[in-house]
Amino acid sequence: MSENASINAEQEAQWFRDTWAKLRDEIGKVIVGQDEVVEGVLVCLAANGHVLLEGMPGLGKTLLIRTLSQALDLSFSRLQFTPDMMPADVTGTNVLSEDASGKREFAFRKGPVFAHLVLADEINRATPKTQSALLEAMQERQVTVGGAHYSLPEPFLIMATQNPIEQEGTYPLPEAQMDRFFYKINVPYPTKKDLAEVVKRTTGTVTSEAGKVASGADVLRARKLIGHVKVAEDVLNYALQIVVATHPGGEAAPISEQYCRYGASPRGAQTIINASKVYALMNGRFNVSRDDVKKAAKPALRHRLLLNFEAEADGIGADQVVDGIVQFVESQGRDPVGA
Amino acid sequence: MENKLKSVARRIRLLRSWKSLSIGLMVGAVLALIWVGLDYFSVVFTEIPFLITLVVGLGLIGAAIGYFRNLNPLDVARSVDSRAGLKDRLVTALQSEDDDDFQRKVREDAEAHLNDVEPKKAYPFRFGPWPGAAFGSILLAGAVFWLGNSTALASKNSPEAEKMKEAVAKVERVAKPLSEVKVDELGGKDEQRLANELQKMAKQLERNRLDPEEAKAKAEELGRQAQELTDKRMEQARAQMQSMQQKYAQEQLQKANITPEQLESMKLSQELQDLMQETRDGLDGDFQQGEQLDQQMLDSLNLDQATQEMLKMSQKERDAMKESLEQQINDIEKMLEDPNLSEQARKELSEKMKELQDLLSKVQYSEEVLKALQDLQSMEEYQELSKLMSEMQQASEQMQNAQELTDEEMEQLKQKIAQLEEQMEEFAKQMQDPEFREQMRKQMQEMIDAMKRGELSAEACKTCLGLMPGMSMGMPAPTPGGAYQGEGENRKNQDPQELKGQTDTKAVKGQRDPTKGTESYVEIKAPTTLGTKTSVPYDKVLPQYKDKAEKAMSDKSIPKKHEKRVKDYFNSLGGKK
Repeated sequence: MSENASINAEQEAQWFRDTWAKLRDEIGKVIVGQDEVVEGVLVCLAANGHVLLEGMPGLGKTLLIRTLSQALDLSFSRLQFTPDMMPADVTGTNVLSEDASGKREFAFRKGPVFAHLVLADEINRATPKTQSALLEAMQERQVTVGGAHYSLPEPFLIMATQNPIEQEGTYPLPEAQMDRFFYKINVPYPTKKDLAEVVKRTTGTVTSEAGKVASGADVLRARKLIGHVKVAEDVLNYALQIVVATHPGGEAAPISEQYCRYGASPRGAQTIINASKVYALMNGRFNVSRDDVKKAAKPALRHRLLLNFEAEADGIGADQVVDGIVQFVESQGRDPVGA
Repeated sequence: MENKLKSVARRIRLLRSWKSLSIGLMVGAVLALIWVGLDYFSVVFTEIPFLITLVVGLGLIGAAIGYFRNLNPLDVARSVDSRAGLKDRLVTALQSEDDDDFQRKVREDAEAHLNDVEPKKAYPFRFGPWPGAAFGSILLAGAVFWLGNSTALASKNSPEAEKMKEAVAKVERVAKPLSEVKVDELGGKDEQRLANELQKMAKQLERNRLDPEEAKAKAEELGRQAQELTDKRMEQARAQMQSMQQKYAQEQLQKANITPEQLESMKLSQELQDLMQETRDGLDGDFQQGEQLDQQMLDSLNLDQATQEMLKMSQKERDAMKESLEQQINDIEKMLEDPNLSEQARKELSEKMKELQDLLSKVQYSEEVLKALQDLQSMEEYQELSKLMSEMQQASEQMQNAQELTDEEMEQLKQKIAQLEEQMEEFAKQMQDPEFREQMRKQMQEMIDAMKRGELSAEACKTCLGLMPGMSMGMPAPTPGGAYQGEGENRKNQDPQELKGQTDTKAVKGQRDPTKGTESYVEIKAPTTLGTKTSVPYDKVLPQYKDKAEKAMSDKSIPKKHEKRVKDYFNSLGGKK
């Protein structure tokens, strides 16, 4: 009997739904509002992807990942990127150490990347060299220092942040690195109501702390589970149509032709499908729907589109382009029975 | 799941049928709108039943196509997913081929959700864009049609409307039979074109779209065209009849071994004509008491007037002529017995006696001819044919004067003519019957033999050849040339010097001499189709219809200053005012 057949779909799906609901609720105890951001981060966690958060300072990005680590009871580290930061400051380095017998040898001292949850704060302030130090960690889940490979712990999630303003003295992330982020989530300002709640919670005497509701093993179990979620050919085609429509010169949507220099890579399609599976499970379904794909499209593609000058001149952002693409693809489909 | 999908599929078929019905109705309505537009501008004319048939017909076709068009189960699943918000559960269940617990759960989940789907709710009948467009198009077409037919707006009881109605009915009465004329070798296209024009005019009158001035001009033009067509058709009919006559006569002559040269020799001599005149003068008044021969038959023989008159002589006249001739012959014989007679005088007397004998034989021949003609008149076939021709002419005349007839009477007339035509055809077939023809041939052969034996004159032979109507050759009557009756041997005199009679060419082949006699003919007023069908002689009827139509219009809206012009115009059409 195969491994697949041994899974009790009903129970597993229910467990996933419950666990992720608990996680969300627990995070919600600390993070006020920002539901989409929280949900996006949880999707990335389940789908084994890294997340890039873009938003103004003070919107709770660090708090979010710290709360997540508390809820999952996982190790957490924070990297505050600065222009003078070196790769070794991220990955760790070999240092000369002396043991009790007086023998000296190089020993690897792990960097902050060796944690389950890593917050790479203001990642665009580091030099490309330092940024690139994260590439291997993100993709291969390992670090190579002095010819030796060091595996990163599982589950491993990098949550990078960047500030949309104050672009002076920053180093925009190269496309290769951007592509390695599963999601790019824009962190909006809280609403007045949410802000009031934030103020109340942080200025009083009572502070909220997240308790442990799941574990790293649960995360790994969830990652296995999403592979079983079914995707119909039609839905897969729908997702692929969206990705292909981002490619100028091909079967692109008109808006892509106008505003895109480069479209999404195959990682974009993988991301959309994986994220859709997570959404399906979160919604108690065993199959991916078009709505899941649509929901995943924007955070999965917005950082993978390289817009041209015309887009910048017209004030068109990646989100608008993705919206246009989705609309274009939707318009292609007709009622198959013609009723 | 399949069963449930089938029930949904049925609903989808109904809904698709509804949509296709709407599309069909809309297409029909658009076509109807175009048609109505053309009707509005009088390019074509249309009626409500046609428009309804067009719209409903296309609608039904659309509905049938919508219902029976192929419906794929996967497409049904896609549609249900979309309509019922099943989040692609059905499509996933149908498309995924894995065999694991997740796949089973997907299927169960899909079935559970599908069971909750109510086809009527998922696929409700809506008055959507297509039905709306169809409804709007139908309304628009109906409105344009209604507006284009202003009589619908006018009071139905107004005197103008009544008169207009009458005028329309009369014009249509002319137009309808014309439109039924078949297109044959004689034409028919022109008749149909004219009929179409008439129908168009009738429709325009009916729908009050024709300005009186315009109507007048149109009626004038149509009248002119009708007259031209009538003349043309009559000319064609005459030419064809003549052609048929000539052809038939030539065939009969060939079968009877009669050569044109023999016919040339048949002519009533001047002497005989003089003698006839003398006899008439002597009898003074008894001339009209002769034998009663059918004038139509005599006309068909194309005999010259003198011959006809001789045939009409009474027995008394004939006896008087014979007595006179015999007396003269006796006198000459006595004179020839005189031995003192000079050679020259003897020769002249002999020639004179021969001539007188010739004349005597002519008179005697005329009795034979008369007998043959009487036999002909008594022939059943001939009587039948004459009766048919007469009835046909009568019917034709009735048709010409049929402007006051009702539709029913017109129809009866048409039927009668058609019946007569059938009888004519039957007779023609009879003529083609070998037995009948053989009988005719025998009769002719007997006559020819009699002529050769001298028992029957060439005149009589010619009479026989002209037995049948339409056999007349229209050739000049020749002088009898060499056939003697009486004792002794028959001698054919081929010497031109002995042909004392003068050829009196009164007619040429194929044309009747307008100065003499009458000609039997059936006047077929165009437009008509010879042999198969007759129709209303519109050249007679049309002006009066137009007259009344114009009167109806003038009662309504013709300005006073134009009334005289209108009156003059219709008077000029030649119809009875």
